[in-house]
Amino acid sequence: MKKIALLLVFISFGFSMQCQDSLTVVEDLSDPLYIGNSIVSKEVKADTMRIDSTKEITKNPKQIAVSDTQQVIIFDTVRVTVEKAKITDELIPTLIPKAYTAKKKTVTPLSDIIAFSNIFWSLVILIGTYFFIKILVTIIERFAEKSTNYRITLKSLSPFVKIIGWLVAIVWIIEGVFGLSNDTLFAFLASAGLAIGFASQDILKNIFGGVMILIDKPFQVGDKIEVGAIYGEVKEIGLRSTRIITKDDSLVSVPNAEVVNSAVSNSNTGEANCQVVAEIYLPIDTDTNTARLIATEAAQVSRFIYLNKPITVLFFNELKEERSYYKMRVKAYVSDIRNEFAFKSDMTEIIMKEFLKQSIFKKQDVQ
Amino acid sequence: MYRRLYEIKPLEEEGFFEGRIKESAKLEEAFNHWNESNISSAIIVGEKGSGASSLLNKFVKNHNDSNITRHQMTTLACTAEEFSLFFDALFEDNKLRDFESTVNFLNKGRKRIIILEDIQHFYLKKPNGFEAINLLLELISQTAKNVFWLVGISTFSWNYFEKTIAIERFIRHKIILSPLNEEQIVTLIMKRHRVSGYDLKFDANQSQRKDLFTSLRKTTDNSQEGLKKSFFTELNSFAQSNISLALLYWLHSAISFENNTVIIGKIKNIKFDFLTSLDATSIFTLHSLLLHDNLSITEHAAVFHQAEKQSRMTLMVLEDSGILISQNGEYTINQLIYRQVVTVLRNKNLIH
Repeated sequence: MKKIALLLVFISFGFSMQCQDSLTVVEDLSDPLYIGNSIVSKEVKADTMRIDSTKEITKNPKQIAVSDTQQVIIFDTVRVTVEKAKITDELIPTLIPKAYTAKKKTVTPLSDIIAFSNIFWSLVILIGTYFFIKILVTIIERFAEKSTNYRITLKSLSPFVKIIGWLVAIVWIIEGVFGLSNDTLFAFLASAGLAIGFASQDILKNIFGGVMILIDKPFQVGDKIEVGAIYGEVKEIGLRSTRIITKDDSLVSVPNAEVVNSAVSNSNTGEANCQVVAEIYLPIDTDTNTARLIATEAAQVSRFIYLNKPITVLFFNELKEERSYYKMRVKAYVSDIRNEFAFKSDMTEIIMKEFLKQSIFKKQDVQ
Repeated sequence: MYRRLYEIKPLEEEGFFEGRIKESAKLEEAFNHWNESNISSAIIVGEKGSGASSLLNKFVKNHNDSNITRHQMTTLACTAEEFSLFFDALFEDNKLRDFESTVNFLNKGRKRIIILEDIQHFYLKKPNGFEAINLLLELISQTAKNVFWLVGISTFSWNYFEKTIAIERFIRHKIILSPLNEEQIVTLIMKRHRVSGYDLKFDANQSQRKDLFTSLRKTTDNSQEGLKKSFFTELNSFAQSNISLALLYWLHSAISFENNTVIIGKIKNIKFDFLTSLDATSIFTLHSLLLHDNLSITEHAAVFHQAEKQSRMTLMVLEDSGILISQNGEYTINQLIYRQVVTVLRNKNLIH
């Protein structure tokens, strides 16, 4: 698939070069160009003037003899086809030989573009960009790790740094190293895009997915998210995939297209804290008031607690092995999402110890 | 002699007192409210070293004809039993064996003022650790007609109690010690300096900050007034309006005494990068110490529900690094790096 894509890109590049050869580019019109007072005036836009004058000249050039006193300044670069250029070449110098200053330029052949020096410098730029981005991202991550509060905000800059870095490098290579004109570039990009689009739809889907994630921001680097069955901290949002570190410390790559098309649950939405739920089953005859007080206090004294958000203790009735139980859910917020499971464990540990100490659990319940 | 002037202890000498006008007025207002036979109590909330005790000294001096009982808590009393023992010891010979007898005792007889400083010692961050503080708040509620309760608490403990036991509901007047501005800090230091009789000279070589921005400046004000200004700006950036810290940094900057002149040098730049790389256990220990002021090994073990051996290791390592100071078996945060510890804990989202 990749080979076909490359081939198509190559052909399209050659094709765009061919098109370029058939054009005559008239540039450098900074000097005044005298055409004639019967067809132009200073107030008319440059583009209109050019077309009008060409038409008039083509029809009956002798009738619109140019006066040396009339002046028209064409402000932008003019491109004309071979046919029009011929007319311009033939007529304007005849009518106003001294004033015609436009130059003709032909495009560099393909062999000159794919030269060793160009490829060498492109590689140097690519490698340089790679290391530059790597260093910048490392610096951002180091600063981010120093503060729990600003960690997520700082880390969310990494994908943008990467994208902007690579874009600058690509533009630099195209404009600076290969020196391609805008026409060539657009022709190349259009045909290359078409070719790549046909050859690698999945990759494009993922890239667009990545861009959508960065624009829509359903989550950021550092957030804890759940995509399908995968739950963990977002390590990286790449162009192809989103990398998540699970609670078992495994790095999972989820294609961006899948992320965009799935329901994503974000636990903290850019904040350092997130809700943690500890569940404990209790006998149905438990004094729920005492249990609630103990559970609340257990959350309050935990070292991981974030107290700016409320602690909630809920009781649900559940049937297990034909017996009715209370399922107690203690909802509290952890100060750093990285301590999510440690907080859950700490709360459970404290609650269980206190329940045993205060005989909330009877001996037969724990045996 | 010079060092004694800057000793970190509550002010006895009113001449050294600076600022706290609004706070004093609020305190008097709360007292007058109670004096008019209303139920009233007041709490002074301030960072360690922000001058709460000095403010209370001033209050006591103004009301020395009243029946005042004053105590500064330094040790833990977090259980109901310890609570009763504390009040029994506070009012000797009255046999206050339990909560009820304490309530009855305080509601009887002449009206009185009870000043309790550092009430954060009435709790320990562990299950059932709020028992004594809850009893104290109940006692305040039940006796506020006959007793003007004036209690002091550290800012971070207050914030914690607000979110856990809603302490604000129990105490009518809250007096928060606002940070002093740079001018007040300068006056506070210079008042003490003038008493010493020494002349003052700021060392031109050492007082300037050798940072990039300073070096980029075309001209530097090397006059004594300019040096003084830049010194105090820097001092306040370190102390951040904390009186104790300002006094401490001033003393540390007094590099020599020559011919009856004190030479003030550059504030020693304390690097605290190592604090950011501390492990989680150390960070949580610092957080607990900030809430409790000081902890023994046993108390630390109870807070972290772990063996004393583990707690001893943690506290000793922090003491060896100079982060903690141990006194009579109680560990406390080194005052010199107090501000930096607060910053680190803020960055870790543990205090707000």
